[in-house]
Amino acid sequence: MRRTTLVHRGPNGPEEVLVALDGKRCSFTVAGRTETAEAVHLPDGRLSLIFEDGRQVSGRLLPAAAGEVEVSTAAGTARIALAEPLRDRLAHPPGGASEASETEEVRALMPGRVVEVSVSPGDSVAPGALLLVLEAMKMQNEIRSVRGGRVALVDVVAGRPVEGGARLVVLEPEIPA
Amino acid sequence: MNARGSRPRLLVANRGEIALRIFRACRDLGVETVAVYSDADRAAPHVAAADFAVRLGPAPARESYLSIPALLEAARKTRATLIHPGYGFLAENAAFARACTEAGLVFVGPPASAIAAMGSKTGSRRLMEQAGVPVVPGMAGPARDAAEVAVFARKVGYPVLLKASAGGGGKGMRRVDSEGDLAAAFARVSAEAEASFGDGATYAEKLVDRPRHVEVQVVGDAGGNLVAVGERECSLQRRHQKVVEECPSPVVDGALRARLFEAAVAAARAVSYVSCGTVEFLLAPDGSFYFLEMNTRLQVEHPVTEEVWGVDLAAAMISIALGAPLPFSAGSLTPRGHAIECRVYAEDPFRGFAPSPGTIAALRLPEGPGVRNDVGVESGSVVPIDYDPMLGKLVVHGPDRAAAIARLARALSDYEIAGVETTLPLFRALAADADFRSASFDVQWLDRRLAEGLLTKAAPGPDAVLLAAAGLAGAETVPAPRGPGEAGSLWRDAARRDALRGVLG
Repeated sequence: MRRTTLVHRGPNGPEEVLVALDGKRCSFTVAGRTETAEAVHLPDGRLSLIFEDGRQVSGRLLPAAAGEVEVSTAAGTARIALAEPLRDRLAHPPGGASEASETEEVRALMPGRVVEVSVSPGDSVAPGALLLVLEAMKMQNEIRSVRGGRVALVDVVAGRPVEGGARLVVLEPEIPA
Repeated sequence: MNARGSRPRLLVANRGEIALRIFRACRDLGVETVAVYSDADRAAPHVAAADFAVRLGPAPARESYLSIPALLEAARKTRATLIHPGYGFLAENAAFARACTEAGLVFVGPPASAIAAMGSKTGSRRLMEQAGVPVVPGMAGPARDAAEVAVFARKVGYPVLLKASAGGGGKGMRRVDSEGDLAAAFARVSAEAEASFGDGATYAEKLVDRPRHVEVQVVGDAGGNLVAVGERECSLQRRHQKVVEECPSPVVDGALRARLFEAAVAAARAVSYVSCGTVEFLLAPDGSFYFLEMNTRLQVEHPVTEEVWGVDLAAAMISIALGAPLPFSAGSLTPRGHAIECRVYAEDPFRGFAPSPGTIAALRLPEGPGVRNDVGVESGSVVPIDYDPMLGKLVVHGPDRAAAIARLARALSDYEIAGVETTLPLFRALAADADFRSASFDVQWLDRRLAEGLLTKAAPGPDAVLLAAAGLAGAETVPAPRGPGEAGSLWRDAARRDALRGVLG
């Protein structure tokens, strides 16, 4: 049994697909609903899924630009943006995308260990600036700001563990000079 | 001369799908085939399909497919007896046709004199007027004043188009819808013309409002037989480039068809036309039509005519060039059903139709009843940046237009090209579009619909997401990335690795 999570950027923020792969048997859990399909590679490299009710879909997966995968099916070709799990969940809190005019709490949604803290209170950060590096699931994840602002608070110290849900950094709007 | 020396041998001075199309006609006729290629095309399908193949030169067309000396040398080396220019490149170059004839080769196309006569915009217009072919009514020369334009406009009817005699590129043009607007518009165009071109001369033409593009296929032999083989509807254009063509035109009835055929044959006869050619007309909503130009070649969209009229135009061109009479007469042909062609380009319809060169990672062509593919690439082919990015043509045929559209939608759902962006999404959108389905369009319709958002990039459907999830779950099945990521995307690369490896749950 192999379990994987695909996080992709859906229209309303990140969406998680949990996949449990057991041989050809593939269980998908999306928003708490699970369905199962048989997954088989076709001779020409495409993938075919047959769901329990007999519904069949097939398509080809190709890596596109970095961070995207292209899926072509009978309906046409779609690009799926793969989200880096932590960053995107942080970037898009459940309430939806935050405005630069609001205060934003950057939280760890998984337990881990802080490897490095790159900002201090009072720092101005540009969109995409590195805030800290968090090790989780044996992966070092760069937590970056998705918006510009000023660092109001830093709640973590390098080398210390954090709980899932713990507040890491608080960003507040840049005060105009 | 060896034992096979008596078989005709035809060199196609072209590449891509049209080279393959002509080679197929050669095979049907027992004619040997010679391919030519540039350095970009050594591994192209048209080379591997030929009996003989000769390198022309480097990739740029000027040094390869447009080099008359290199082409004649290739014909000499392979002892080719005929040359077919295809379309594009040298297809409507009278000097090339003449050079082939002078080198002792049979040019598979019209006489050089016909190419030259139809190649001149003003000259061909004069010729057509003499031959009684309708042309867009226009004033013979510059107007002295607005009153003179008014006399002309009263004769041909509004709207008229005021044009600077020295103008071009859309500058110094103004539409006038009624006599009340004429004086002011005339003053403005004259002033603009004076300012832009240093010459205030202004004249007027009848403006054909919301026209359709309808063209007639003609075929003639050396004995002077000329036949019109149906019309094609080519109004679906993007920036004056045809995108989708149909046969027959959904708006042409029997009486109009007879008048179009008569005008097209008169046009071809005026230049003593031999071989396949196309006479293009602007068709006004009231059924009047006007000569646009004559294309003195086999056209990209010839397959829709072949499907409906049951003829092989490429083969007819070759046999006529070899001296045979027309293989059919006007009375012997019966149209059957409706055909639609889509030009599949390696262009990104979501980025302003920018060319999308690259390697075709996968190609799956639709098959089944009523589906024909004229395609110049295969899986693994590289689409070079040096040439027109057309990959091929999807042609569907059905008992009527609605059935042809249903087959088009079916074929498009089976059609897969991966690795390069293509215009397939445009055709999928068109096949579902109400105006397209009811044939309510004119030559500007597609540009208007594209501006209104005919194409919207839909969010990936749930099936696509599940396929991606299943595929990524079995990470060993995912091929290597296509190329280097964009600058500053390290986190994205890391993210991708994350997604590929999965976060263990």
